[in-house]
Amino acid sequence: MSLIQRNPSTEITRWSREFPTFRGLESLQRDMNRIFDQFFRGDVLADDTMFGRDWTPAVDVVENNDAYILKAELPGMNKDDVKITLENNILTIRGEKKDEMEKNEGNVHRMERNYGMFERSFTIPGTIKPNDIDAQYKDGILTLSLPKAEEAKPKKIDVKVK
Amino acid sequence: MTNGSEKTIHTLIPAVDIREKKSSYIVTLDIPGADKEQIKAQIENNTLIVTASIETVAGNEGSAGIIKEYRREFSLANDVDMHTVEAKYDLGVLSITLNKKAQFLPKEISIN
Repeated sequence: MSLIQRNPSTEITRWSREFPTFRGLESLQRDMNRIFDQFFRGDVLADDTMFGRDWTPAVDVVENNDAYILKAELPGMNKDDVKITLENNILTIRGEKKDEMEKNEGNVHRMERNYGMFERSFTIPGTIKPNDIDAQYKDGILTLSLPKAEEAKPKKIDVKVK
Repeated sequence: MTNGSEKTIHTLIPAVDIREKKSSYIVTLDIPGADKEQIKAQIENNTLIVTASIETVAGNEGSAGIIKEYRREFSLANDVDMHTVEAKYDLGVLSITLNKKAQFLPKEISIN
């Protein structure tokens, strides 16, 4: 069985699995991407993830009137292997993705999916209600809802037209 | 107010693991956040094509949505039995089992 499509984004990942020397390269690529992301976007939920994890889950952060919604892609995870903590305004998602197949079970032709320890941290704005953070895990996506405090919500003032 | 009806399409290539067992190949793809109905797997001329189209709302109601289009193709070797392919979607992971044709299975030859 062979593949037609080439996937440049996972190319380094694949190399690093086959040759451990490339592993530094992979995390360097990831960290550089993040530094540029942060610099240009000025994220509300600034990414504070430290260097040196096995992998970093992709995260979307969106804001609506009532809350910040953070969605992390964690496919194939056991819910109990994910830990979420909030400490000094730093929200951290960490855990471990275990390989569900036995080590000696057949030949591996391709291994692009992420396994091992992951961690991501975010500085959250002081305007959210820390006790009302809600977390759900469904279909491989961890959704965190960070509700805004009343004073942070956009206000609507009716203007009377005379 | 803008109507924000323009949807952004993100084309994505799902990460895949391929393992070969004695009697089958197991193809595992990460497609997080889909409903089972949004995923299509089909075989056309010895090519396995997996696609998924997942629509998400970005921010406030009425704001532009994002469509994540996953697609990946695999050309199948002739030892795969195209008629007994099975797929399962759980926790954002699609696993496809491709059984090998009987004549390609390892067999023991007894010595007379």
